[in-house]
Amino acid sequence: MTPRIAVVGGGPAGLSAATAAARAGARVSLYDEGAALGGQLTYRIAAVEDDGRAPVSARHLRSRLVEEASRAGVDAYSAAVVWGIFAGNRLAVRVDGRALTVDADAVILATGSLDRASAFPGGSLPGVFTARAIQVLLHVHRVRPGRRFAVIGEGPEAGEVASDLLLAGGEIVARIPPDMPDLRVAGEGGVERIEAGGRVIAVDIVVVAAGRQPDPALALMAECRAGYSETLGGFVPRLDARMDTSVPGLFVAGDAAGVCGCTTAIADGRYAGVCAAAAVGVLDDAQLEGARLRWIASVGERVRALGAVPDHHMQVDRVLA
Amino acid sequence: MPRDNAFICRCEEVETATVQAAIAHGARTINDIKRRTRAGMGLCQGAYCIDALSWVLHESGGTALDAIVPMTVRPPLRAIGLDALADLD
Amino acid sequence: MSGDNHGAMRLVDHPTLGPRRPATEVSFSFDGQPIRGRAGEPLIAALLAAGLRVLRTMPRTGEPRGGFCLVGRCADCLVMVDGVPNVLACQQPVQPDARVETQRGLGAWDRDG
Repeated sequence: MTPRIAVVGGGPAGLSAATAAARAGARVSLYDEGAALGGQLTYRIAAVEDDGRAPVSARHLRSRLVEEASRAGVDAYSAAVVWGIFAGNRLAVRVDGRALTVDADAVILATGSLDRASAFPGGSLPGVFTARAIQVLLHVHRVRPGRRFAVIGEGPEAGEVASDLLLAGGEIVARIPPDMPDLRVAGEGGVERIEAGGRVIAVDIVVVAAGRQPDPALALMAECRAGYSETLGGFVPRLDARMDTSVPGLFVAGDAAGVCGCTTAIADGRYAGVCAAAAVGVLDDAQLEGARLRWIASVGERVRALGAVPDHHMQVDRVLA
Repeated sequence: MPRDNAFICRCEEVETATVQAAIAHGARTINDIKRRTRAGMGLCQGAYCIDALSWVLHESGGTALDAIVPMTVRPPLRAIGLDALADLD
Repeated sequence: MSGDNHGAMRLVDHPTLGPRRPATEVSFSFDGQPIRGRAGEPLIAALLAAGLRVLRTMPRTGEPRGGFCLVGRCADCLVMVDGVPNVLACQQPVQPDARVETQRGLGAWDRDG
């Protein structure tokens, strides 16, 4: 009986993990809650790094990863919500209005990240949206929700959404640092103006682009050991050198393990897929070791940030916390 | 009517000041804050407030960030309807 | 001034995405007002395109909300559809002749609807 691996999340990390595990010989099923596979790649249009190759459009990368998973024989389900994880890593899934339970020999959580919200007066008025919400509106639903936009944030997400808005014919009337002390949004029944630094600016939409945070909710539900990491963007499960959480058979990869770029998410996912395949017995230790060294070589800083490999040496004993 | 609220928890309409008061009155963990203020109990299950709550706890309560225990997460992760639960054995 | 619809616009074409997919028109109502949607899109897309931003009012403060995350997580976009409360406008596709309404507070089942 071929060992079974379940992957939760069909973004760059999940697709890569599923493909790697399937190529290693496991029977792999993938569950993604979106209408279409791809995760962040379904709503971003920017150029993204493609696994060490020249940057490609997010849409092109998405097609490639989905195609690879399909060719590797991954059973992928869209509009599939994994709403619970229980003893033995049993998954509760809702797909097509039906409830399923999935009992796999290993589970890889690649549930990605969310926008970080920001609390300021008027921050909950109609017309305040996250950067991701704006990208979904512009690129998936083809609606520009206003004409004049204020973008709160300074990081790469803020730059990306500002470019997206300009391409869609929007006007950026203000770029505001996230920690601006006297920031206030106001209006009757919705956003009409933004006040910051003593200035008042008329605006239709306020975009909160304050960075992203990991979304490892299922790992937390499974009671993996987890902690807050500033470098990784928020709460993340503690991982060992084989992307294993403190719960046997449960792996985490991609943004859910700590916010990272696409290249890293793909590398993480591929490595987690291989680790899971080794854990269920379809891959031997030599193959796993090769994969581990490739992962370390491609995303060394990430490995250190995860704490998965100590800085001072590369020989790591497998540790289950 | 326009009001000057800064909601740290959008779902349950909990103001940042309310959370700070809870910490001043002895809340020491995210779960403490959740129990006393309802922050984190809404539909998003804390997704959009956990980060801010952690920082407020760290800054007002003096707990080191990496010593903060995450919120307890219970199923269901999404509002899926009772019929989904009924389907399970 | 951005106009009555707050400067909202449907993006028929886009510099890198190209023209949008064709879709049949789906008519529904929002608080009695006729709205034109496109098959396959969620309610919030049609409402925002029409310049309608208030989807619910909150139980404790009565304050208006109109969507925030667009990915079904934040609960700001809950509306009533055909008398049924707590429908996520960012997930629920437009349906012909649906009676969509602002949700007040926690919403109430409209048993006569």
